[in-house]
Amino acid sequence: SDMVGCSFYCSARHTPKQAEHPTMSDHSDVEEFETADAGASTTVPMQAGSVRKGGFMVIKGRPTKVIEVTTSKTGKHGHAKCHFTATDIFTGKKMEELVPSSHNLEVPIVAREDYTLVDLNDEGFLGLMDDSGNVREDLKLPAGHDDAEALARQIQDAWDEGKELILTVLKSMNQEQVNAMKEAPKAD
Amino acid sequence: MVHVLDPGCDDVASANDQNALGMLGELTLALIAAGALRGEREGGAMEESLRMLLDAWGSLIGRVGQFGCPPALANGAAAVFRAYLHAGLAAVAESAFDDDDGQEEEGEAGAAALDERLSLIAPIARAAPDATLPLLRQALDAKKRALADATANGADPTTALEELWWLGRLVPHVLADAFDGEIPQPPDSLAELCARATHEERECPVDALAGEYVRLTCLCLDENARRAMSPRLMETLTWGSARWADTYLMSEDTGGSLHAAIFAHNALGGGGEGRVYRGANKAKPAAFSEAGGGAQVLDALLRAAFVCLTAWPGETGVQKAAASTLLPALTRRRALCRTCVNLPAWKQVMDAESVALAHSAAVAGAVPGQQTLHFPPEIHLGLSEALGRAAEGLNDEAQSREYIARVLAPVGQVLDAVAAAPGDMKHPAGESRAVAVIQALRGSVRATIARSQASVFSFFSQSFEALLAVQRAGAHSAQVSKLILKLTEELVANQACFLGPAHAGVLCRHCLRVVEEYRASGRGKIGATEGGSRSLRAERVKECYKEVKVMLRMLTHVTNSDNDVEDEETARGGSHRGSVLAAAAAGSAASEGRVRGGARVAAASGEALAKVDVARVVFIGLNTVIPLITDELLTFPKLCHQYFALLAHMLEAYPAKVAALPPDMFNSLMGTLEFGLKHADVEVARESLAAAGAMGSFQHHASVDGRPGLGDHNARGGGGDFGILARLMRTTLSRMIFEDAGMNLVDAAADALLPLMLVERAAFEGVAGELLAKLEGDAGAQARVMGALRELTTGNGLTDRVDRANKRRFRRNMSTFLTETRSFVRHT
Repeated sequence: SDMVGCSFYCSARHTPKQAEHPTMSDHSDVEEFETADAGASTTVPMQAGSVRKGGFMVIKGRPTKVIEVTTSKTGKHGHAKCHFTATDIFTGKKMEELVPSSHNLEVPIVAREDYTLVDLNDEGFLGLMDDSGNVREDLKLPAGHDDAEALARQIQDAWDEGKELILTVLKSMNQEQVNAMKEAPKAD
Repeated sequence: MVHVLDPGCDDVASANDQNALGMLGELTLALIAAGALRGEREGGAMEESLRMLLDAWGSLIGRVGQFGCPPALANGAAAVFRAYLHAGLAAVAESAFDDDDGQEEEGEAGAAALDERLSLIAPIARAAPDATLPLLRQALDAKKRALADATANGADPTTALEELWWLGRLVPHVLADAFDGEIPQPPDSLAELCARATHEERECPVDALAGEYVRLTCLCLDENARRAMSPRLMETLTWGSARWADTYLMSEDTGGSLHAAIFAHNALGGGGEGRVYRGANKAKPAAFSEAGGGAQVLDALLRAAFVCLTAWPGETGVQKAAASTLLPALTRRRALCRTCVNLPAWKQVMDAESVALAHSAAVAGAVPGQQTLHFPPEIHLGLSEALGRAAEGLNDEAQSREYIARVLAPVGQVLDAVAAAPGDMKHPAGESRAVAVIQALRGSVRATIARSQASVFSFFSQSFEALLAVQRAGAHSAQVSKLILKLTEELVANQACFLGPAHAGVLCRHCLRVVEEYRASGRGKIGATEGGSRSLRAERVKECYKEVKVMLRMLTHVTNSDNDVEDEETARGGSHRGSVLAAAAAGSAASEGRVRGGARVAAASGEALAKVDVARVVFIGLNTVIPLITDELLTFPKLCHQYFALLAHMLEAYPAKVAALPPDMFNSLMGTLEFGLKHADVEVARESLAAAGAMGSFQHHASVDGRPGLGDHNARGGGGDFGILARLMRTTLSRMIFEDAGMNLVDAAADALLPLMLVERAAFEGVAGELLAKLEGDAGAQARVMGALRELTTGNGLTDRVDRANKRRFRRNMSTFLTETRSFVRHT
């Protein structure tokens, strides 16, 4: 029997459509995801026990990356709880959360895209060109915490020196920020 | 104390010894009564003192001979155990409501520390089993009833659960030893008790206690009783059942019955050692043997494992105990496997695994109350491995093939689905599914056994394209990348030794593609500002380190599969010594999968084409991996060691092939070698010295035989730069004279320097000259060093051969030389 079946997830680039409840009851052995729509939602529910160190989760509405997980119990013979320590992927702020292992938590969808830096104006707005040649100008240099500001300085300096730069934009839960920089490789 | 150990010596033992034993007993009992076992005493002086006393008991008991424990000692042990049991239960009840503060390791429930303590009391219990086993059985029974009562009355069951938890750990310690790579036999005193009981036609206390324990574990099979049991308790009972099963469950095929028979003889009071009791055959089947109820127990435990996997969703600890402790024990031996594969309970486990894998995208259902079966990835790993190992129980090749196909089919389906939808991996659910399926694949690889190896390999070789697609699509995910590499590594480690040349070639090609895919993904390149924050960047570096380390291990495994290692003879004569690999190529294709390395058969050079050039595979792999080993990565010692061990092996085993490498690859390797020679880590330096010595020896033998050796590779660079061998020699000498403080590298350096010195005489003289020039102005020192140099190169009858005797001489010379020279030269 076809236990695995159909395509399960609509690319985030689709136009948003009404989120529908996935119908689990119809197909007991096939996990259907074409209706587990990801077009509108930016997060996905997952069992807390499956989230590992290095994974992502939402804490207090913020997308975070997990840096530590420990399990403890409500009393020795109670049920397991997962204690997560995580850092906000945009602000670097450290956050914690305690979730029973069998419960669900939200996992953010995190995407990374590379752009070539084609402009950097006085107000700090970046001109970013994607692979197809389209340019966006809506993002500014990263800011808000030490590491972001250090990165902003590095970008500014490299730009001033005339280097060709590739910037990585981190995107999650409707927030975007430049997160890394590298020099464009010299033509081989 | 010695007298106390003589059997029947009670009355004649000296009063002193009796007193000493009595005092030991009193002290121990006093400490226990004073609360040495209580939780808050942990790590304190009382606990430490009790530990020492229990150790003393253990030593006394350990020295007891074949005639068993003398009464005084046995009585003392029984008294101690009785007190320990009582106080231990009280202490554990006291701490039952303490908060679990999360310091217990996941999946181990604080048990490791407890195991360490209980291992001290176990031999004491075993010394007087007639008294102690019934005590344990009573305690188990009482606490089980207490739990039932608490549940029936709606009272808090925590205390009862915690007491049962503690007993659940203690009983298996007493009954059996841990499986440490070797199937443990029953402890002698218990075997003796069993034999005696059988002879006296009464119930064996060992079997009775074991039965009670297994029944307790299998309480979880009853839905009502299960509600009373906690995951923590089940975890320990699962662990304990596994420990017991390794020794006692269907132990006929590990000499269990012979062991029992030996003790049966002793039990009859027969003298002499080891004479087998012939009456054993007439007895009814031993308890827990296949015919004596063992098959039923196996079935029950399998069903209990299934319950542990499914009844407590989210409780990874108990799931892991089932998948990684109990099921491996139940598939450890052929007899158990034979029974397992035919049981419906086994199919239940198999189905659970395939359903969970199909649902591994782990997106929670929105239908309330409907829980889809879901396992964390490690559970897939453990289950898949146990499922694969059970193939041991199928003699028939067709049956074995069919079984493996059944186990792997769902895995293959999920793998294909993952490979066909690369974009899905950017989504957490898709990533989760990819991780789960790779773990399941790893499990089947780790379960490779001779019987099913060919079927497993066939499955994998058809899956290589899919695996590469998954690797490509998962390049952004640290988890997926690491696991794919680990899978490839384990594939080589487990399968390579079974493969004939064609299959080995296919596997090696796949390895190279995996390495190349990794390089192309750019994962190995970490920019200076990657991640946007220092901690995230440090994490990326760590990920990279692990990935590169796994690739190096994989390449090392590839070398281990080579059965046709070059040696000096081959390098000299240029003829190919065929291996059985080549012979198999000449043989039928049907024997492909089952050919093993070992015998050497001369083969015509035409057949050598069919052979896998393992060295070439590794060099190509290294060529791709070396640029990924940045300075940052080299700060991780394990990676460093792994690399240099592999480098040394390649240079020692395949010097001719190294010489045949294209210049850029050769120089790349030599660059790393020079780095290693200067490295502070002794291990790394030692390997590098071995490698340098191998290069030197190769060149030396070549020149003796009139062959080109390294040829152009060793040419002097433009501008009078030294050739590589001269540089290696200079670096080594320089380090030993000027830098190294200790003498722990002297022998290794001497072994490297001897051949290097012999082939690069001019360069050596140059170094000597430089050394003396440093001492300009101090004629006395110059004279001493000159003398030392002369001794180094000629002393002790040193010849110009690179053989064992000469190497020994040179080591001595080197040691003397360094002692002499360092003091002078470092002064300047």
